[in-house]
Amino acid sequence: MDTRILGRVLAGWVAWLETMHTPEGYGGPVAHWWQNCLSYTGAGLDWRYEGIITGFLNLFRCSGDPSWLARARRAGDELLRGQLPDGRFRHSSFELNPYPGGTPHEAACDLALLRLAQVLRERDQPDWSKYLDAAQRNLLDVQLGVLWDQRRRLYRDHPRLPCFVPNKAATFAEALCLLDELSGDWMRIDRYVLVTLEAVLAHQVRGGALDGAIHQYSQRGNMVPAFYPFYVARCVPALLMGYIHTGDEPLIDAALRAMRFVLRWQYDDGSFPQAVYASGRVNRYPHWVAGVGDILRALRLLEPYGLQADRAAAEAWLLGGAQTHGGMRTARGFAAQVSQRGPDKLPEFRDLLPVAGWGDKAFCYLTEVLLDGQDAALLAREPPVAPLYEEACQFRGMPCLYREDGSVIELWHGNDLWYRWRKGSCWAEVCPPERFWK
Amino acid sequence: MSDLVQVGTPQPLVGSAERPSLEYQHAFDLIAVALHGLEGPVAVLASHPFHARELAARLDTVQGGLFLLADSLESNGEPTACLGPESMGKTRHLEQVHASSLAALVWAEPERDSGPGVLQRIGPAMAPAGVLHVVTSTLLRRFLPEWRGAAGHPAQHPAGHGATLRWLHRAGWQVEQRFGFHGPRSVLWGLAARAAVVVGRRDGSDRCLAAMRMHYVVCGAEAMMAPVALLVARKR
Repeated sequence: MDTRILGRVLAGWVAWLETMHTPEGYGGPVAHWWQNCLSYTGAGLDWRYEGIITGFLNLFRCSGDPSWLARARRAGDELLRGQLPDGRFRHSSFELNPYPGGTPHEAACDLALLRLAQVLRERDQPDWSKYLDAAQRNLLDVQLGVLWDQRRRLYRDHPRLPCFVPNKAATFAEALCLLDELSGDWMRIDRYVLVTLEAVLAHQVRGGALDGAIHQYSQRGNMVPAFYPFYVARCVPALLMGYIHTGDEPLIDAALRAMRFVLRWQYDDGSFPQAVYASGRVNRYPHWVAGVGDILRALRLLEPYGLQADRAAAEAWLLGGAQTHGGMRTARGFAAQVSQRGPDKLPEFRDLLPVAGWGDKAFCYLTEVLLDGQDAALLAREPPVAPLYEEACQFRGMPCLYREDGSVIELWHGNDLWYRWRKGSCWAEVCPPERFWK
Repeated sequence: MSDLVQVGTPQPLVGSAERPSLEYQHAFDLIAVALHGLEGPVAVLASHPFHARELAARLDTVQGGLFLLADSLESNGEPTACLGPESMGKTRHLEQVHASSLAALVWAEPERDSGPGVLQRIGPAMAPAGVLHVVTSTLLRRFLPEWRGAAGHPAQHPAGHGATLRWLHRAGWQVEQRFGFHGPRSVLWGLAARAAVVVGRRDGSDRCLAAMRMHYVVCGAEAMMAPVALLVARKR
């Protein structure tokens, strides 16, 4: 990857992220495949913290600059302040906000806190254990206490419904594994982690055109035949962690098969389809852009284990989403979500909308690339990002103008203001219900 | 307004990862967007802890302060920890509000028997340009999870959309906007999504669900054909 481009994109994203910061945490509207959260725009203590904290820790490791560690610590402190008496995190539901109890979001926050604790402990920082304690509280009281089905030995997606979502369970398993590593208590690996990873394996397709694909979820044991490359990739770090701890070959085999499935469905432009179905049909749009960071991360993790993957096309796709003000676009093709016909020339509002909880995936991956040997000082050498970002777009088929600067995100249709969020505010200022939907 | 207590940060119920149905989420979010920029106090008149909890969580940072009036908080035995014990007021406290002071009032949701009387109390409390948001439901509510089962409904005897509209007109309120959540087109898309699964087209089902959400909100008279509706009114 070109060093200058990497430095420019990372420096830009870090500067943009700061504009999304509020005293309670990182905020902003959210666009997603299943639901949008454009009204509530306050801090979301969700999976965005996994990439944000991990990315800052990577920058710290790479450069030794304590200011990066301070940013990771500040984010960790926000999670601690936002932890509720019952162990959950406030507003942790990402596209379903404002609600606590989000999955896999709280487990992803735990993972971030544990990584922070790990780095602080390595450097003999006395307060490292408070981050471990907060993660442990959530993992034991909520993830195990509420979501673990003791009878079925299954991590559920709901306190009462026997619904298993492999990628969410994988995040839970990864966090629990790291908790055991840090606490030195390995009891939970056998009792919960390996059982969970076996359940993920049971959701993987063996043989045929979909070999390696992982079902998106199952309910009462019935597999739902939909496969999302992004979510398949999110299962990989946990499978790999399980393999590293146990040496169980089926785990690394499953991880490799999973990513070979993802690669088989990659398009020439480096993008991936949104969803593949058992029939072989696809819902191609919207293609994630910033979220491809998690796919690239999984590919990179597996390269030492024999995965042959050329990451260049996906990297180019990801970097092509960098915006002039430092944001990272969320997707391409939101306008075609219903029709699935090739997207128009104009991007949709949600394509352009940079979301902290998608950009963090790009940030996490790109900082890992930086760790591979690049110089972290190149961030400091990059010029400041443009203060204003404007781009023509569409919404509900109408031509619009997307406009963002350090203090506001707006959508204009001619002289009509269709959307406005003043950064730092918990709710959008303008978000007419007849135009926008959840 | 002296003996009304300002609402603090609500504490969610332990063990609850459940959210209201999408219909109610839309209504509550819309209210939050509309009221957050207001200067001046806002009151919530909730017929059930369900409404009280959801609205308090969204409006706890309104600039002019939030006052919560809910008769049912103690009587039905539901936990009130989420609102803080000090934050509860009763409908009768509305009469202690300084006349013409409220920038906005959210009424969720009018009861058949008490509705007209409550509306009489609301009028004097509102500022001249004060805006009234009324969350109502129609007979289609019976399809919502909140209304299934024999007990625990968000209202005991809901007045419904039509009756509330009539009361508002008679009491001299100008209904400026009507929104319905999960309107007819949206319902049809939802049915199409189910049908697509039956015929093995889960890809088509996902596209129909996206269309369902896109057409979720309806305006004007169509709101009567949605399970949950929101009326926005001002005193004439």
